[in-house]
Amino acid sequence: MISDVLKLLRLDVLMRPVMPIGGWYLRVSPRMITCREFNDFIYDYVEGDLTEKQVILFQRHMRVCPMCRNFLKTYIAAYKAESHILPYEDIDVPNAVPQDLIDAILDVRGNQNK
Amino acid sequence: MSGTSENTPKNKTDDDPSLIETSPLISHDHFMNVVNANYGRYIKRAYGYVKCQSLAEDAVQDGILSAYRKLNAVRDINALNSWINRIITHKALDVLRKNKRMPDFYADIDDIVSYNSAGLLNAPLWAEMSTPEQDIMKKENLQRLNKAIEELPDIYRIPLLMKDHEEFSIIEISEMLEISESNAKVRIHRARMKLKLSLGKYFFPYQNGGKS
Repeated sequence: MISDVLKLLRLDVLMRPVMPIGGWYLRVSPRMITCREFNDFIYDYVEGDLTEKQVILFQRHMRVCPMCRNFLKTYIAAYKAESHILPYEDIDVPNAVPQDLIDAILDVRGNQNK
Repeated sequence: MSGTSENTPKNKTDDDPSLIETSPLISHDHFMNVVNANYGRYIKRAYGYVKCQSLAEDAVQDGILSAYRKLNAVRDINALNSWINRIITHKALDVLRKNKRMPDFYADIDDIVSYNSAGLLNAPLWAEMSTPEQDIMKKENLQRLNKAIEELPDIYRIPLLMKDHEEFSIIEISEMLEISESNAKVRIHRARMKLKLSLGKYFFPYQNGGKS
């Protein structure tokens, strides 16, 4: 019964184990987003593209939902690691510019200087 | 009234003589130095897109040549390397198109995270991170990361590399891949989630076994 009502109000996230700080403040807060919406926000949150209002909604969900909190934390960790590396460090590639290419460039240069 | 209707010449083509005759900001030698110093890196980047060494080399050589032809367009000497990188990315995408290997970006996206009917996360508990961040940058973990990126399907890997490694904007990515901006964003987001999941068992060992 109660769960149906909460679902209707989109507040059923409150049935999860809640951080002690959540409590009263969160129960009376007017809007709560779902985990799905939270996930849709993550990209823009990480890129810093959310509006102030959206950030408030985002963080409010994060405070009551430990799953999403950890989800975001690991997402950011993976993102940080991934964006700071150059992939394919271990594949073997020629490091010297091949002679064909040098010749072709000199060709272009010759034409330009004509 | 600004009155002066300047006739800005439309000299955008590669071989327009008026472009070539202006004195270039970047000398031949400087260009060659930059290319020499970065050639291996260029190939690795291109390899990220085409996943084939000979195609990657084609794209890189093509890109360097066409960069050299358009050298006068460069306005900032420090931007030369990233500018060449971008041209090579364009060429790599061209190579994919030519070989009909451009992935279908409108194919369905597989669900990575599952929700219940009310839109709440269904997954078992996502436990706290157990690996300190500096450990993620250790060598063996970097190799795992490399492997995880390599194993991403094309539809996720290509936009991810463009966004996080070449720093293209979403608008540029959506133009180059001929997809909508929101589609591009979703692809990149999915790519990061997939990476997170495939790295999960090394970096966050409890995330899928929270219940057991």
